[in-house]
Amino acid sequence: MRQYEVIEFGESVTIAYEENGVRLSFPDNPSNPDYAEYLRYTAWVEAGNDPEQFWVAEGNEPELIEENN
Amino acid sequence: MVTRLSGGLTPADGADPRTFPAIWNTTAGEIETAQADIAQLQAEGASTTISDTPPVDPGNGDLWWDSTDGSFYVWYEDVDGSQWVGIRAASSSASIDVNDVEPGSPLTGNLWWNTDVESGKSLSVYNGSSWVNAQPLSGNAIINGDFGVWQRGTSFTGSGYSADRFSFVSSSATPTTNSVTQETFTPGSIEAIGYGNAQFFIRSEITTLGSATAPRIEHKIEDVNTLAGQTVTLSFWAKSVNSNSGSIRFAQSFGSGGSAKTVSFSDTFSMTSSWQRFSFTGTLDSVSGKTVGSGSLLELRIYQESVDGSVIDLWGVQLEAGGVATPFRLAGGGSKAAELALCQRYYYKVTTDAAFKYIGTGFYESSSSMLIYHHFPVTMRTVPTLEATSGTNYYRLRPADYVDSISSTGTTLNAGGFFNNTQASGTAGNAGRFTTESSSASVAWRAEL
Repeated sequence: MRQYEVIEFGESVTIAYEENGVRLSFPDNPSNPDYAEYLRYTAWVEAGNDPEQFWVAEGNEPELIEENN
Repeated sequence: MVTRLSGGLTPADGADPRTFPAIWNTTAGEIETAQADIAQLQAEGASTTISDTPPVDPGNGDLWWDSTDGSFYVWYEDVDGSQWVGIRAASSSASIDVNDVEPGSPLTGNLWWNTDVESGKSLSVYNGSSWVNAQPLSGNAIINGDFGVWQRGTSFTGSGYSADRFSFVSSSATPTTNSVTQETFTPGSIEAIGYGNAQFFIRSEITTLGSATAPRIEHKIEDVNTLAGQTVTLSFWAKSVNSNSGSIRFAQSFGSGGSAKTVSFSDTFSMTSSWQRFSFTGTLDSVSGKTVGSGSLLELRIYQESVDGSVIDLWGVQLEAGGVATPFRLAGGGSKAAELALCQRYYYKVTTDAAFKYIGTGFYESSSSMLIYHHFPVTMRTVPTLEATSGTNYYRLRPADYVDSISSTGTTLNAGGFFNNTQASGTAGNAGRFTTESSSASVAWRAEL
């Protein structure tokens, strides 16, 4: 499960996580897709959902356009 | 094209209108000029023939007005031979037809604006034997369509980006065993398919599919408004050593907070072991009435056959407005530098996956934090994410300080910073060169869709 860190450095806020030996870090800017995903994750958790299920749901999102295969 | 001129004379009752060609083929001013020419030569004793074939046994000075195209000739006998010599070229009778059916009896140079929506409202010119495309070139909406830019590397497994702007994706699961690789054209082979300036193509090979479904190469085009509601033509070259089949599909994604994703046209294709250009024409859905959120996009999916041993080689991917696949060209206009710059709007690799490479100039902001700033080569699509591998002593602020990882700070569309405040140790205000220390160190900025 992804573990986010929120780091304040100077006047900036950085959100970071590690995955497969890569550290990904991004600003708290809504136009950044990773930050948008972070916001969805925190909303999911704050709603009382199981954090692990967020990633399961993300990975197994129904592929809507496959229905036309 | 033969057309009757308004205000012209009408042929006599029952007469073949070709005996009055000037009425039918040319302008009023040109009629007057031709009549004056003929009158003068007839006054000098020459005979005049109006016919669609040259007169038999002409005499010196005889005139022939070719009723098929309006050319005017004189029979000229000189010291070493006799021949018809043009004295007035055919009037410029090229026309422009605006119609949804092919014009009949066209002349060389005629233009036809085909208003048929299914045909893509294309412009053609008649070359004397057939209608050929004369469509002004629209841009190629596919960036890196020649697979010339590979900032991330040249060999990949699983899902994710490979060649810039292209990613391998599957549904349900990642294939058990698969690879996506950069392949090099053998000299001359690319010339055979009509483009002599390419080096690489992409190969996606699935050894064992496992529980994965719908394996595909995807390309995301920024902004769902791109070509929306227009007739478009997708083209690419493909081959498969195992003669697999494939299919294509477009999806319009309306971004965060936008309308639900929709599918535009789709189609299938069958490959052989030889390069073959495929093209598909269809209409992308209009976005009228839709809500467009941030990060909207048009998604191209090129599916490979969903079986073990499925292989697809691709090159020259092009998406353009109109109903005709025009010759391949790069989105950036042909320059490799321009194509790289387009790619760097979405992904910028700072390092070259090598040790002891200079990244930027850094300094100690405090005794326990180092900061390094640098500018991006192009303005990025959005404020990017820093992707940096991490491991023991991967990075160093020379001369002495090693750190395992870095994080981004103060990032904008045009510049970004790295910092470390967990291992850094130095004197506030001191500066140094920030370098990679491990060949596994990799630093990149990502602003993909």
